[in-house]
Amino acid sequence: MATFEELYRQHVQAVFRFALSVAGKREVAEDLTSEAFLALHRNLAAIDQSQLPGWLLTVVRNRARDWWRRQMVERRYAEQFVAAPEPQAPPVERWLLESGDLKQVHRVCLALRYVQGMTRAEIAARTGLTEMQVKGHLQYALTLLRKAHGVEET
Amino acid sequence: MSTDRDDWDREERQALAGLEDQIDAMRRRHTGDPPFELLRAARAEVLPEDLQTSVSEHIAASAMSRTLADGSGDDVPALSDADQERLLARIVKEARKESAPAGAWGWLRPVLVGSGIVALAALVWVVSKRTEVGERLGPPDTQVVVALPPAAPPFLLPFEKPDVRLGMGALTWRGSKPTATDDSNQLLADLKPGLDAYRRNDYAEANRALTALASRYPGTIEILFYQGVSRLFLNDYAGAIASFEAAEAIGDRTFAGDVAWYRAVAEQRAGRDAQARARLGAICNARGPDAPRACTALAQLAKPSATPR
Repeated sequence: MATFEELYRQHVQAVFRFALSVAGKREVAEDLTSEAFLALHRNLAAIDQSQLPGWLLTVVRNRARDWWRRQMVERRYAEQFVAAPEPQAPPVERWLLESGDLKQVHRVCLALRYVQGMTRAEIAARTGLTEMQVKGHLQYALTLLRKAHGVEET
Repeated sequence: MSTDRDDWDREERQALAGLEDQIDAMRRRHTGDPPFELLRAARAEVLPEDLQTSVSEHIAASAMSRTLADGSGDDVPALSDADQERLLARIVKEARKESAPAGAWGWLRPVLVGSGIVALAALVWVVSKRTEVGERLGPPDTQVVVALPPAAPPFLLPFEKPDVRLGMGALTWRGSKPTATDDSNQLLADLKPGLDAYRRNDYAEANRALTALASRYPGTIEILFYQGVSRLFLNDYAGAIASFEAAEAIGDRTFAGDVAWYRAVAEQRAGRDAQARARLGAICNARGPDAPRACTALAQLAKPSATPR
């Protein structure tokens, strides 16, 4: 039977990544991760360790639900979004979504920067990447974009 | 948040010169889209019901939103060693605080507990006396039937048909006796009927054709993988597991993620939840492209009896 610290080291990365994906903010992800492991600490004697990391992820998911409920009240999110954009996407958009040269991380950085209009710092805060990584991914993707659209390098 | 191209730096202006109108058009098309964090949260199904429905519908209808909802793929962030240690120290501190005695007022606890027990005993005695009276004077028994809502359907791992792709091994296959003059690829020719059947959703024929090839090309991952997926579509879960098991033994890295994912799908549908969870746990802990969806699925698969709050 593993100790708490061993379990923490074994699962913390997966739990944190999941927390970041459901909350979208690093500090909230850290809170959720911390709460999940605190719950594990409380229940360590009773828990079936073969249920990990699913058990931890479920704690994160349940706490994230509570967190989003509170956000709903505080931020009054508009509940109706445009069902789908109009047809006729420009060629750049089709390339962004379909190009086999791009990795998923490039598509996300491009979309956050040029569709959702975020700064590099905002992208970094929401994805967990560093600003340098975001900059690198964008530079690489823009080079491919220029090539794909026949724009000569300067 | 930036709202137009005013915050582009020099490099971006150069890179996007001539494409500004398209970028503007793309942004205008998506002004009504949900923000990134909502898309990600909806993917993990953690939003309150109304919002979850609204955002999920949007994701289903918009390729751009699907791309964002899927996150950054295998380039997922990690906690640094320092952050890991800081978080551990925070958790241990909180845990100690929870288990620490009440300090200077600790002596008061046994007194309060003792008083509580006495008060509770008195309350039970009073209520039991009143109940006896009530039972003697009350109306005849009536039977109350409580209709329970139907149980929610069990969560099933998402199962989408993977497109046909061929690894380098298959594309460059030359057989055991390559000849300088013969450039034909017999493996691809033999695979074609089975994969064509798979493409047109004729899974029975795909399974038959691929099974016929399995002994002739024992190390070919494509045969075992698409055979496994075809069997999944035919609800032959045990057969699918056998295919994926054999595919895993080949150790092809190109297909490894897909093989592990679809094997977990087959195991869950076969009722082997523990194996499916263990497999998803391994995918989730690894930093592969399937890690995010495996972690999400794992959270949804947790046993109800073990579901913590």
